[in-house]
Amino acid sequence: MQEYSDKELLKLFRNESHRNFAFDLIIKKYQEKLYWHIRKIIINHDDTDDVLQNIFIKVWKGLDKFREDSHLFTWLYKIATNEALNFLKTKKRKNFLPFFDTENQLNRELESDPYFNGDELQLKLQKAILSLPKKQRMVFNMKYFDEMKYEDMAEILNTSTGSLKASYHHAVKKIEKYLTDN
Amino acid sequence: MKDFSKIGSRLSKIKKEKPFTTPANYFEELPSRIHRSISEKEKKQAVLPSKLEHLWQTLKPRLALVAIIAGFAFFGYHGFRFITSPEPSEVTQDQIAEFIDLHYYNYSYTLLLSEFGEEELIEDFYLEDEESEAYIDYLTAESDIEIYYLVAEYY
Repeated sequence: MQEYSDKELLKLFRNESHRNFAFDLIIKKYQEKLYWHIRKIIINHDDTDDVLQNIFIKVWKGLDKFREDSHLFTWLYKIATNEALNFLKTKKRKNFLPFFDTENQLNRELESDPYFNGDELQLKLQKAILSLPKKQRMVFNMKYFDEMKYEDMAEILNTSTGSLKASYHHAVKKIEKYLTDN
Repeated sequence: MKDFSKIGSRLSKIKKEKPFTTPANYFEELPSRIHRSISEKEKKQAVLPSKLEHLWQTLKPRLALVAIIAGFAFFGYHGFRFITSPEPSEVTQDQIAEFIDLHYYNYSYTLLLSEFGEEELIEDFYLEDEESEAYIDYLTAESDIEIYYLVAEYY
């Protein structure tokens, strides 16, 4: 299959007769990346699936207004991050959960997740990641697993590369400590 | 800054690949599910305005009827009140003079108002009376005669 650049995809999308085709290509190009980004925040597969579908519906409605001030890839990640965090916020409100209970809830979901196939050490690492503050958790996942550039992360999370480097450094230290203590 | 290779020594022992999986064929089926969701949403949005239009068409004659009834009730009530309310009776100069005579020792405009109610009924008298007040002021200033004495003498 021919690999289209983001610019070509956007150009195709703006052409009414190719809109559906272009959108299909955009989904196929980014669905996995976005899925794993959200899944690492939300943990549960079914919730991730709901959020991801909503994100693509929003993208379908909003792509016309996308002005290309940023890359399509960072724009999509930004939407995905916001939607995932909003989902957690709504879930917390619905279940009247304080912060530490959100962490416990995600831990329980991780332990009972039928789609978790890691070994014991990987489970421990995931628990260590869940014990981090929200921002450090996202920074760690994006850097460690997705190997994303700090510049792209800065654009997605609306922050400076310096602050991201510090967050990653703190996150690694806390994870190391968690792994040693547990 | 500390050496990251040392800090991350425990991390490096853990396999880096994702420990999560998805249901079979999840990513193969996802695009068609998303397209389906979008077309369902668009259908719903297309149906909604026509439903609202239908609701408006149904409600329009009823709302018009309610508005006409409310209009009749409003104008009927105020019209009836206008026709049936009694004409304000005029207060005669003699009535006011008699009242002042009776209460000259503690007479005030407020007292007069409390007796006859509406200001416009006694306004003329009060204006006319300003001239008399000027005379009384003049006499009070010019002599030692008490105002109560004057009133007792000439009324």
